[in-house]
Amino acid sequence: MSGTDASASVFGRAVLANNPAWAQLLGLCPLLAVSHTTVNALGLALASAFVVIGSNVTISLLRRVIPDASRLPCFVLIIATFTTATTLLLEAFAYDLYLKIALFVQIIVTNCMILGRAETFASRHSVGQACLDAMGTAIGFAIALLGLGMVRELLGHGTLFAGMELLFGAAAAGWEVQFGTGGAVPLAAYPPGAFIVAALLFAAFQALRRADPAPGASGSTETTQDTDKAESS
Amino acid sequence: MIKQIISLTLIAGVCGLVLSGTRTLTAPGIAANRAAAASELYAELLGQPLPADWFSADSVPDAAQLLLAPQGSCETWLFTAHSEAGYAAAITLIGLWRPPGLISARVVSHLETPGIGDFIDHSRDNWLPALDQSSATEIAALDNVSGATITTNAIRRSLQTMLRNMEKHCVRD
Repeated sequence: MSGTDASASVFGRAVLANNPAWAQLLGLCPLLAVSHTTVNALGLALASAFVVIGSNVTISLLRRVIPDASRLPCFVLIIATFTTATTLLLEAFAYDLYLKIALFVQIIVTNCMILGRAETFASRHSVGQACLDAMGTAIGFAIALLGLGMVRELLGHGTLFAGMELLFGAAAAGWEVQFGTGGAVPLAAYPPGAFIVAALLFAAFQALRRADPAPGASGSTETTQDTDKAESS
Repeated sequence: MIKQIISLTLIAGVCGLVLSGTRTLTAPGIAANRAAAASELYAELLGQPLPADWFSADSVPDAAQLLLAPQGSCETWLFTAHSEAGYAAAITLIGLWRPPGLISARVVSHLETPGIGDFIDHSRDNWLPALDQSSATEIAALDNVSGATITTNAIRRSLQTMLRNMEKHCVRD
């Protein structure tokens, strides 16, 4: 496999076949809790992307220095550093959004998705590969978050992209699209609705994977560790 | 062993550098945001513009300062603050006291469970604003919210403590 193909494979698998939320069901707590609007989902997706890319790159850079016996505390320390940095950046540059999602940004540090990528991939691969894997994971998680956020906002509130000014400033205040008055299924905006909508989206994703057993989408029984071992060999 | 200690020191150093750099970069923005949020909160509670000398970002007292000493006067109004243990962590409130003993308050920091205990956050629920200008008797009769007894008790104790503190403060003056 050529270098470009290998990189594309790492990236594609991280986005689709090993999608952290839809394929591995990781990071579901913030996914379900924050996804009642698109802007919240996007904010958390950006925060998670910053943490997973920063921690993957740092762990890959330091992989020959990190003692094997204490690797997990070291990974958690590095992930906690990037999580704290993300929280500070949000509080400084997107204060209103920070007030809404700060609690869930802070618990990114315990997100199995990020620790999983550190342990199974970043600590065993070069910086470039670790960065690609992190970007794929971040995009995969963002797709899941945004998909859930948009469906829930549409069903629950009858709007799309409401409150985008929290993230993009006053210029984004006009991005809101209104569909009728109120949502068709208000339950979707509440916690029980999050479980129901997420379950339907997960089921749809699994059905698509089974219907299209292409290389990038195959491996419903393949674990992350198996694929990563295969890649490193 | 020495190699491991050096490795761990290096990792801790890298993490420390990242955090210290981010802190330096974000500190002015965070201070300005907190001051603006505090100003907005005080003006909302007071229902009128704040005193002119409170408008600069440096002069807006935050909750930590109000925890030490109230601001205002016993004849008109006093801003104060109080922290009480909640379900997960301390709940800090800023309170506005008016003679002869009415209190309004807003939560400025809490870690109560979202969807269960976060009704105390005025940006999510009208529960606390609905108690504006309450007397000691009304606060004592406050009903607990089902499923969030610890949270409700913390708010009740905070409001009662702020009222007691302000009464003592003004009697002493």
